[in-house]
This record gives sequence, structure tokens and C-alpha cells, in this order.
Amino acid sequence: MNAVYFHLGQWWFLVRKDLQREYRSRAAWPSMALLGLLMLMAIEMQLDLPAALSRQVAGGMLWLAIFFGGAVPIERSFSSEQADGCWDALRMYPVEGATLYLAKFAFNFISLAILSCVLLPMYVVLTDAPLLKQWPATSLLAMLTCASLAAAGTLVGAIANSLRSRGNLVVLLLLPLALPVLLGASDATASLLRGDTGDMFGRWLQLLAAFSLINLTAGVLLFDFVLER
Amino acid sequence: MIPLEARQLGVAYNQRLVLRSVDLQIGPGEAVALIGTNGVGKTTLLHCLAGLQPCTAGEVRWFGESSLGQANANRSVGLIAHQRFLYPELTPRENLLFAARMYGLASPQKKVATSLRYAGLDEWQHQPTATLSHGLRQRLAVSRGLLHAPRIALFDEPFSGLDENSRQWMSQILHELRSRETAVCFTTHDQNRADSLADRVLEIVAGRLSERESGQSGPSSMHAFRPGLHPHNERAAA
Amino acid sequence: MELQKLKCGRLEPLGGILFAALLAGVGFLILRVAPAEKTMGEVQRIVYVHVAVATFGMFGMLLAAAAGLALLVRRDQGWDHWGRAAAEVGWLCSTLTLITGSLWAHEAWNTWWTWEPRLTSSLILWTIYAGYFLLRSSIDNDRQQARVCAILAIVGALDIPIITMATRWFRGMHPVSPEMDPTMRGVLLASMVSLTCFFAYLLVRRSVQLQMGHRIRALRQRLLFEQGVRM
Repeated sequence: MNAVYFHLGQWWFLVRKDLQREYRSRAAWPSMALLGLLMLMAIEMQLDLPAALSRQVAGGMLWLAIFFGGAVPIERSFSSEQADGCWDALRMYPVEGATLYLAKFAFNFISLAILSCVLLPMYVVLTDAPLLKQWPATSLLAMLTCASLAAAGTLVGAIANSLRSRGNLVVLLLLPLALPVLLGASDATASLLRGDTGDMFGRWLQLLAAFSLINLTAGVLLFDFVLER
Repeated sequence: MIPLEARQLGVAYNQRLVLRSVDLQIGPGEAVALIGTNGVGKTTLLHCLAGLQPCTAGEVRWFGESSLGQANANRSVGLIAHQRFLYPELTPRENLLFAARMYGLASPQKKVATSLRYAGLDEWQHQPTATLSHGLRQRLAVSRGLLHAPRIALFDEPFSGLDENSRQWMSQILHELRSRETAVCFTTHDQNRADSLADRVLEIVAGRLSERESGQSGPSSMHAFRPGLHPHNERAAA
Repeated sequence: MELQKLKCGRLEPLGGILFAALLAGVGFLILRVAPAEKTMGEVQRIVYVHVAVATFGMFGMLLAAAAGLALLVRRDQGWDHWGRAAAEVGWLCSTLTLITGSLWAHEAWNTWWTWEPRLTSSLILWTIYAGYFLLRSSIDNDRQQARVCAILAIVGALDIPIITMATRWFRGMHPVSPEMDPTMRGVLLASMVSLTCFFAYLLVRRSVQLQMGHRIRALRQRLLFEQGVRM
């Protein structure tokens, strides 16, 4: 029981430390939000379809914008540890890899959730999509998508962090792995826009949940190996 | 049990030899100074001794344990390196509290307050660490590294860039660590300080460690050369 | 001692000749023995190769992941050679899958590419392989390279069922084992078995080659430690 409290405490202080740092330095979230907005804008501008048609195709664009915007905090959450050798310090503390992984996952999930809160209303304004009317289904879909991206992203981000040229590698490694997530999220959005929250929508939610669970498990089990040198 | 022991330690980066056949033992309460020119491998050796970097040949043992994996062993090593392991956005107080909580120390608030007072950082404890001067940050780094009262303390250039006052403070810390039976190892350029603070002064020349008597100016005895075994070959031999 | 074992001696060219003959035999079966298909004609013969490479393309990632798991659990660097060889052969097969599939689709569906489930999933698999090799090339340290790539291979392999499901839920039109002439079925089976053997052979050869390269580097390092000789 004591051990559980100890790990839980460590997890909480790791998360709190990341949030405190982000709150004070504002290193990741503003650029994440701006990049997401710009992606969304650029794509919508290029397509410039009539509203009805745009709604059908642009569901995927929303999640693509969230993916690229979200890659910023994922990359940042690890590169910021390199600043004063803090990653080495983390490896020297008696912290389990699983604790560290779950802490970074929590931070990345929060970042992605914030990004969704910014981009979803923006998307509704741009495309006039009736997503907010179905807000319970929409927010459930957004949460599962963010969890999936954060679960895979945290593992891949940590891998990419141990390299010399880390910046762009996160996107390159994560995008192929996350393609089924984006596929599922965009198709689920399309069925939401059709006003259909039935069978297919539920199936996509299950797929996203399965993806998050599989990647979370892999992260918890494999993160110790990421920390080795 | 010997706190810190290196046996036939060797390190190579991409076919470039940095250290070879290093044998080193540091007993409780013993202070060892490592000297050598820049780029000779002092920091590399220290990182190996801290368990941060795997060695290519040989091994390091901490209290007889060959792996730092156990949380227990981790808590027994303190490293104060060039990189200070401090988060620039957090205040000194928050930095120390974070370390205390990662180590799972009892009554962290009290320990941190004592540590800040001892380092003379009371006045600055609520400022972001990034705004502190070099010397103050070095003091904070030392406080962080020793917060968990390690039984093995490793310092990389602890005196560089400090004013006379801080140097005094640093020397005092080294003395106190020794009186508390801590095994101490530090690197330095400063010959005199090495002689006055350490029981033994070791010099790294061309990747090898050679012992020299305090006060002497040249290497007195070279370690007998013994070939290091690559881990791979060790496995093959066994 | 171990180098002797690795050398495989004079049997080496024999293996090459054997597999050349096998591949020639399969080619003969595909081009001469199998009858032409009724609607698609000669183009259908691509399928005999396509099915085999597609299978091994997916299998390569699973093998790389299994080798990666063994590497992490057993802490034995030797598994890295197997993992890397499996991934390389897998990538080769994955590329061939895309090429043969595309050629076939051009004749059968009158388009080079369509976002059909199996096409999509094999393309995603191909990009995961690409990321894997990109990761490999950006790490110098052997041990780190092995460890990190093992992790990526495991995550990639875990992704395969999800990809399969995600792509299948879009409507598909890929032919799934249609009715076949017994001769055709026989040729397909023969080509699958012999191509799988060939790729397995490639995998073993590549792995041995990587192992020898590693051994040479280790010997060099030992020389460096013992005599300070730089090579």
C-alpha cells in the first residue's frame, strides 16, 4: 500500500512539475494552438467547398490539425528535459519507467485536450458543422482520440528524444502509427455529422479505446527500456 | 563493503578509446581527486561511476551491487555535474522539493528549508532558478545532489566559477561529507586544492588512471597494464 | 572458433544455386503451367507473386517485433541482427507488394491506386517500415539502436491488427480468395511455399552478414583496448 502511495505521489509531482513549467514558460501550448489553427485554416481555405460538401470531407482535416498541433507539446515534453541535463537526473531518481511514462502521458493528454477545446469551436465556425449540438458524443470522441494520440505519442516522443536530430522525427514516426486513429476519428466525425451515432460510431469508439489501451500497456511495460542507455 | 569500486573499466566512443583498464576503489570517508587536462575523460569516468553511462568494458560496483537498478542503490549516489539538473522555470525551493519527492524523503518541507538555509539561498528561494547567478545555481545544484544524504558523492569541477566565499563553503561541504563517512570523488584542475582536500590524487593520462602521492608534481606509479574484456567476449568465454 | 561456425564454408554457393533453381522453377510454373485467367488474362499471373510477398511483408514486422522482444527480455544483442534482417526483408516484400498490387490494379480496376482497405493497410505498413529504418539510421550507438528499434518494431506490430480493422471498416473491393482452377491453386501454393523459403533464406543470410559485421567491430574494439591500435 505504501509503495502505491509512493508511486502515485511521484506521478502527481511529475505531472505538476510539467504543468508548472509550461504555465511559466509558455513554451509549447501557444505554438501548439497556433499551429493547429493555421493548419485548419490553410486546409479549409484550400478546399473552399460549399458548406454541405466541406462538412463531409473536412472531418478528417480537424483531426489532422490536432495531430500536427499536438506533436508540438509531445516533442516539447521530452526535449525540455534535456535543458540542464534533467533527463539524466530523472534516470537517477528511484522513479519507475511506468510512473514516468504515465506522468508524461497525462501531460500530453492534457495538452491535446486543450488543443481540441481550441480547435473544435474554430472548426464549427469555419464549416458550420453541427458538432456542438451533439456535444456528449463529440467530447467522448475527442477524448478517446486525444488519449490514443497521447499514448502512442509519449512512447514515440521518448524514443525520438534520445536521438541527435529529434525535432521532426516525432511526426515521422508517429504519423504512420497513428493513421488508423486519424482514419477512425474522421470517419466517426463524418457519421456524427450525418446525425448517425449508431453502430458504426460505436465501433470506431471501441477501436480508439482499444488503440489507447494497447499503447498504454506497451508504454508502461517498455518505458524502462527507453530510459536505459 | 566498499562503497564505490571500478574494475577494469573501459569506455570507447565509436572506436575512439576514452578510458581503459581503470581500477578504482573509494572507501567510506575517503576523498579522491581526479585531475587531468581537458577532454581526457574525467567527466566520462564520473558519469560511469554515477551509473549514468554504461561502460564498454569492466564494471562498476556500488556497495557490492553491480546494478544501480534497485531504487535502494539509486538513493545512495549523489552526482553534482556540469549540467546542474535544475529546472530553470522552477524556484530553488520548488526544485529541491521536487527532488525530495522523487527520492521519497520523509518530511520534505523541513529538509528543503534546512538545505536552503545551509546553502545561503533563503533570500532567493522564491525566484525562478533561471534568474540566479552562476554561483548561486551551483550552490543549489550541490544542495539538490546531496539532499538525500547519499553515501557516495561525486562532484564534477565543484570549484569552477565560484567566488572565494563559495569555495570556502564548498570545501567545508567536502570536509563534512568525509566526517559523515561518505565516499567522495571530485574532479578539478586546481592542483593545490586537490592536494589539500583529497586523501588521494589520481591523474588520468591517455585514458589510464595513475595514482600520485599528495604534493608530488609528476605521476609516480603507473598501473600495470591488463587487457580489458569486451562484454561480448566475456559472454562468449563463459 | 565462432568465426569458423559462421563461415558456412563451401556450402554457401550451393545455397545460392539451389534457390536460383527454385525461383526459376516457380517462374516456369507461373508463366507456363498455370492457365490464363478468363477475364483478366495474362495479368492475373502477378497474383502468384503478389500473395506471397504480401504475406511475408506483414510477417517481417511480426518477426522483427518478436526478435525485439527477445532482445529486450534476454538482453542479448545477437537478436538485433535477426530483427534488423527481418525488417529489411519485410520492407523489401512490402515494397514488392505495393508494386505488384499497383500493376495488377491498373489492369483489373483500371487505376494505379485506390483507397481500398488492403491497399491502405499495406501502404501504412510500408510507412512504418520506413520510419523504422529512418530511426535506425539516425543512431550511431549500436546498443541504443538495437534497443530503440526493438521498441518501435513491437509498437508497429501491435498496430497491425488495429490497422487491419480500421481499414476494413471502410467498404472494400479487394478479391478475397475467389474460386480457382485446381492447377492455379497448386501453382499459388507452390509459389507461396518456395518464395517464403527464399525470403527466409535471405533473412538468414542477411542476419549472418550483420552478425559478422558486428563481430569485426567487436574485434577492432578489443584490439583498441589491448594495444591501443586504431584501425
